[in-house]
Amino acid sequence: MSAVLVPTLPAAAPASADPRPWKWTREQYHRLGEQGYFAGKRVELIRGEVVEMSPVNWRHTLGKSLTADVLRAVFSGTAWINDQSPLPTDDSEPQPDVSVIPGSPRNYTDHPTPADALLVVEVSDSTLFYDTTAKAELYAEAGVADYWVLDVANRQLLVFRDPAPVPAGGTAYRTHQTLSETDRVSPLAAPTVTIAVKDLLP
Amino acid sequence: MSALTAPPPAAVPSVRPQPRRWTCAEFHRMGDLGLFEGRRAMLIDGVILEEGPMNPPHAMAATITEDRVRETFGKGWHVRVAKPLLLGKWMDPEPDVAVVSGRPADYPTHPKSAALVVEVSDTSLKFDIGEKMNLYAAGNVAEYWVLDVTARVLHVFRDPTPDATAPHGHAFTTHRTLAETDAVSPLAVPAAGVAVKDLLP
Repeated sequence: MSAVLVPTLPAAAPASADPRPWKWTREQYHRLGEQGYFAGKRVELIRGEVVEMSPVNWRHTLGKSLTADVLRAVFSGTAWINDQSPLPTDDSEPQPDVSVIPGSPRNYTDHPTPADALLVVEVSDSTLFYDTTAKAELYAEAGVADYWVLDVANRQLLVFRDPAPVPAGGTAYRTHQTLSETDRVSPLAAPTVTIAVKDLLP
Repeated sequence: MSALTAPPPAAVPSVRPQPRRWTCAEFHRMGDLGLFEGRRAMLIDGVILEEGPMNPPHAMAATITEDRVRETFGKGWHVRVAKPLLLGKWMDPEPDVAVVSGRPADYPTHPKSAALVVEVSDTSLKFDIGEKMNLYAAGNVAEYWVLDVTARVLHVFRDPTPDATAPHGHAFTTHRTLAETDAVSPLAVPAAGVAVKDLLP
């Protein structure tokens, strides 16, 4: 019922000091944004690298909107829905499609962090491998307890839980479930509520 | 609730978000903003790469090379040290030493090629005689030297030629490795010569 996901290990360190990709700090990333470098682009900072998000299609938009609505109802009065806003870590600033943050937005003086999130959801149509590997590692490392990938292409929900250090290094989710359209899921932070997977899917 | 134990299929076609690629113009504006202050950045294929801090032997060899190359080329040329070299919209390797014809004032914009590029290499030899060699060939740099201060040899690359199988589609077809006891005459000033040992620290 649970599977250990081994994170992709960084390539062995090169023998010589070859140039390495430039790593932006969050402060520099924001300065670039203020300077207009990302005008008209959707970008995220992932481990110091500025990556472009792929254009969203309607299936993605719908899955995200449905998921946000369902979670807003489930967590009404106890948490708020952060709609594709940054969840910064030390060297990253991912913008998950939906995240559930406790309290109300006015409780926060800056972006909430992944460790604040009760639940993070990425809606995936073309980026499934990335969302279930590199992104999952990032969220596991940042302490997101409950990470869902809504796979709109295969009409299923992937649920990742129990982030823990792995012997090979890094942090990975130790539990992974694949739920079909006919299944139901309970958020870790709302264990008495069950949500039909089909209600999240377009 | 059905739960599968296998990880999701990795074979499905899936897109990895692409790094934001930068143009030379954007890269240089970042430099103006001071974002690379005190660090060594270069733009390769739209990707910003960083080299580690310069070791003393590298800095020393770069200064010595700069002086020798300036003497060797003489009038009609000028030497640019760690300055932009625009090998294309997405490419500015900022070479240690580049020799360009004419006077600095002849270039209202950064030069797009060079008669000679010299990279001093202590820890980055693999990159300098590998991918960097290909990109200088692609930029139609006539002659490329890599001064290997560790092995105390000078790599001389000439004859940039299209090569579909090479990185960046080009390579130098001539590669000679000169020992300390050898001398070299730059292609652009064949009457002048410089001893390899005079370039080394």
